[in-house]
Amino acid sequence: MNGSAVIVLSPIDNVAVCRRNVTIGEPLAMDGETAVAACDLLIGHKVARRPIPRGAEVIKYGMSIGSATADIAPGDWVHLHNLQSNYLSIHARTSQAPA
Amino acid sequence: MIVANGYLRTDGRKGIRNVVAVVYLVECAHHVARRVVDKADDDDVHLLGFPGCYPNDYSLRMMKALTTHPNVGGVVLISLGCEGFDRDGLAASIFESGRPVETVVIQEAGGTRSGIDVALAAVRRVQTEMQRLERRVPMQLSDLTIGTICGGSDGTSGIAANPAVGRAFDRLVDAGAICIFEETGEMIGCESAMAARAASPEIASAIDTSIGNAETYYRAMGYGSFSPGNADGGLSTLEEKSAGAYVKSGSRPINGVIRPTQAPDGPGLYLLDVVPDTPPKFGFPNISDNAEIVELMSCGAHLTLFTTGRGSVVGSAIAPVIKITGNPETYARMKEDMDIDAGRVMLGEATLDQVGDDIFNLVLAVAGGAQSKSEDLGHREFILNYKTIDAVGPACHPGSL
Repeated sequence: MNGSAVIVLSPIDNVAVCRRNVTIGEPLAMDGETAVAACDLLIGHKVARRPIPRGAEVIKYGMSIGSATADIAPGDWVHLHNLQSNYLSIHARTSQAPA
Repeated sequence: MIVANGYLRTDGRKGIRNVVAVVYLVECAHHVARRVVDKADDDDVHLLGFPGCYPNDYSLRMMKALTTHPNVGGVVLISLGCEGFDRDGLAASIFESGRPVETVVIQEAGGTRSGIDVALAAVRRVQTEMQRLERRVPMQLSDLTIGTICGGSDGTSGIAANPAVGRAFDRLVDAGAICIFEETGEMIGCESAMAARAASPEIASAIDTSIGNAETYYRAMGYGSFSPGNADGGLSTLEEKSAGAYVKSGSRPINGVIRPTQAPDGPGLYLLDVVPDTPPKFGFPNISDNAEIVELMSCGAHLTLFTTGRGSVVGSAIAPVIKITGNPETYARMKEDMDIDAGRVMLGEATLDQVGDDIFNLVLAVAGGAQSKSEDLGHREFILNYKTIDAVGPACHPGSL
């Protein structure tokens, strides 16, 4: 058990989640990978564990939770400013499907 | 692995408790039933009921499933006399299950006071008959059905409590138990990930249909899923929020999509679809956490794992509830109500695997007779209301085909 400020919820995740508030410059141990917090981070918010190029999927719980809208470096805050949903409702998918 | 000295029922199912269900069949009989339970003064005499006077197929099916739940050993039905509930049909199905059952009609008994006296005597006769019929048998982990829900969630739920339950679910499924998760309305956006875990293409398609159906239903109810408060707490997308609830299901294959009152027909993990696939008729699919617990019990759940962040206190009639909080402050403040402190994950004092093991071990202990916190505090909540939903889910275990 380590006392890291962040937790990695699934081994394949490219983000970790803050277990407490984190201060800029704090070193973050993320299950074998390390980075330095690029800004202050609030509890419950996400921080990049690996480089995530613009357009790549952001993975949490081993699941895609959306795509990066900018290049993201390890230690960067990941939230609304650089991540967007890929979710398309089933109705929208159905109505867009070719007949 | 033997986990309990269970109660064998004539249908072959095994219970971890031996409850007498005192059931009011309309709100007008509620007071008499409640007084009977109070006077019985026995932790194993539980109050259930349905308040409506007009008949409803769902509530009758639910009552049949709940009064023949493996944890129930006998039943006393309390009728006013003129309500629309099919009390004879319910009594017949309980009788056919091999359980002692008596019906007390308040109007025939002569009113409140004599109704209580007659019903209390009926409870005592049912208890005597239950003792005569009692057959204790070893119960394996593979005889257990476990449900999970979340309520009073906060930012810690998706980080600590829900992933820890997912790990416990994986261990339970691997040991041959039946595990059930639910609330498709909170899993909108997870359907691709869920379908990828389906045990067959038919089940994958049923999952997609169920989520689409939930989306339609909740939209018609005017109920949005993603709020500004979610973003403040660090959630960025709908699929991320939903994943935080969905992660309670663990990582094993999804073996079927079932509906309330439908017991899974084999071991493994199941999605309980609680959302009607018709336009909204009686309102929200479930009006409170206990309505969800009642539906899990109708599918045979012997106990329920309940994750909470802000701190729910509820338990349930019939089947024990184990409460898990991921919030260390909630645990410190409400320790008497919380069975598992997943807040240790937030503090860096325990891993998700360790808390998952704690949950798994507590499931075994409670199945073996240990009281959960809510059970010990006397929580016996129960709620059942009107609903219209099919009795059979869109896809069940591939082994049944």
